[in-house]
Amino acid sequence: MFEARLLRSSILKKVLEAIKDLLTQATFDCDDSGIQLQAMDNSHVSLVSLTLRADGFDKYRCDRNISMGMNLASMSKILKCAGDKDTVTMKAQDNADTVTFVFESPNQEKVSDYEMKLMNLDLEHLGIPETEYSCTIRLPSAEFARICRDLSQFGESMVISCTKEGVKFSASGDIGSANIKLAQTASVDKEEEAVVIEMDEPVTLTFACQYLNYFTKATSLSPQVQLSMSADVPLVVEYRIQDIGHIRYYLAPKIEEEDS
Amino acid sequence: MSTTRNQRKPKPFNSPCAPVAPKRIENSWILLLPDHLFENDNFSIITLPHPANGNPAKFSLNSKLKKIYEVVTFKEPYRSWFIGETVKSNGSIHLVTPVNPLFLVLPRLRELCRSRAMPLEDLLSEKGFEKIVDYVNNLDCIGDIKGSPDMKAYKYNEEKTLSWLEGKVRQLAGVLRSKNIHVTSAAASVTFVTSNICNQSVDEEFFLKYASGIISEYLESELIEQLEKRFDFKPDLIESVGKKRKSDTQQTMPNKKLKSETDEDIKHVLNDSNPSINDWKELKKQKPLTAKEKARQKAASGTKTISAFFSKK
Repeated sequence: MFEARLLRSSILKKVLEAIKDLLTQATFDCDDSGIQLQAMDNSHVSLVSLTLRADGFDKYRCDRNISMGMNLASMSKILKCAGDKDTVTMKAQDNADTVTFVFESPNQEKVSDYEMKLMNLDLEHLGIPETEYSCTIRLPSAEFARICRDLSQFGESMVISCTKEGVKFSASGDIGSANIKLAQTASVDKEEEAVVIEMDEPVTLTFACQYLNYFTKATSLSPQVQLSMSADVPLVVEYRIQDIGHIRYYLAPKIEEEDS
Repeated sequence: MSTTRNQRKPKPFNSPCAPVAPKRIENSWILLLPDHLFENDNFSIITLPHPANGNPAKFSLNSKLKKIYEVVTFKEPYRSWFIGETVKSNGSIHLVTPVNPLFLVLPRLRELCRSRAMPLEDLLSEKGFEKIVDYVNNLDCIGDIKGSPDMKAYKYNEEKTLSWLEGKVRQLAGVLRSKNIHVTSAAASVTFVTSNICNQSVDEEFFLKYASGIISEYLESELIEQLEKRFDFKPDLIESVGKKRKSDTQQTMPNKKLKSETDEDIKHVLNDSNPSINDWKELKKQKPLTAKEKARQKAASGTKTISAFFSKK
């Protein structure tokens, strides 16, 4: 028996919004420590890794490890039926081929349950090595979303270059070029608005704008986003979800001198 | 039990007197192999998507000679085998025929590497393809190498592919001519000798069409069209040759069309030896891409695959 209860359905709704454009289906691996999801997008260029810890749930019970393959478009449809303040409970029997979502309104007057068929997905899991990154940049997530949106108008790829002066995002294309520089904030009034750069070595990498735009769908999950980069390894874009876990996106860098 | 009409002796059972348990007979099947595959210790049969239609098909590997063979099935009703003292009611016969690995890789390259380069190892990392990575060379015939040669990252090149296929067709047409294979329409007995001996009068184009028909059995329909355009065949001729070929193949080569009907049987028979049979279903589902997915693929062009960085668990 698997049962996980969240007081606010909005977290799960936002998580789905954050992954459903990138992935069509994914496996939720549940064990007694929590729920994990790892999946590559169809083009195998990026990887999504989601962790929701058991202690972050209002109630969490997982007798036996289960993996539930879900069609994310269908799951998203179901979650749209839940009100933001509703309590959501995910339930599944051991070896079940369906999962049940129960939504309860705050005053317990309305209870709705939705059953969804599970899929048998045979997805490969990748081992992600612990890496010491040369640069980590923390910035307000809305700021990052804005930068990605603005720069994607100029070109398909975005260069992120981190030096000791700060971090520079740039793109160029038919209409011209754009550069956005961010320096470390000197005085921090609010931690959420700070730009913090930790750098051992300068790094410059190129990424597909569109993928970064997909990642910023997670903006509502966290006020801050952390970018980690090292030369010739994938970029990590991490959004922490308060009290319960995080969502990490990995994006492979573009190959240089590619004919465009 | 049905009668057997077959004259050939099954090779794997050379000593007909040897007692074989009936249970084993039930789970066995008849496979004709060249000798050198017998010497191969780790002879194995694997499942890969068929290059023409993506349906699962069986292939066997010779790790010594680095060759891939396609397992083709020939089956007629009312056919059984005598094995030792028992009768096996399934009278189908399986043969192995060599196949160029490039044909197997081609659909995958066309699918994934149209707009971006991908290392060979990543390209062949799924769906059973990982087993044939070592067998593939000459990828230059159908793609361009990008980046450093060590990485072996290739991008699909249609022009090169068509030239390569054209070469294959011409080569095959030459073989057909030298072996006096009957390629024009209307049925003919194998033993029937026409007055115009040696097909000399038969137009070169008939051979080419016949050859391209054979090659096309390993190509996706889109590519077949391209290839036909390249040879500029007249449509009516293609049709008549195509029809002819269907009735003729039984004499000249094992019939691929029959194979799809008997897939079920192979599956059944192979079930004992091959635990990974569940792959069959998965290989079948391939949905067309939505506009969103296409846009994403376009955006992904020029990016390395993420699995190049992270090892598989």
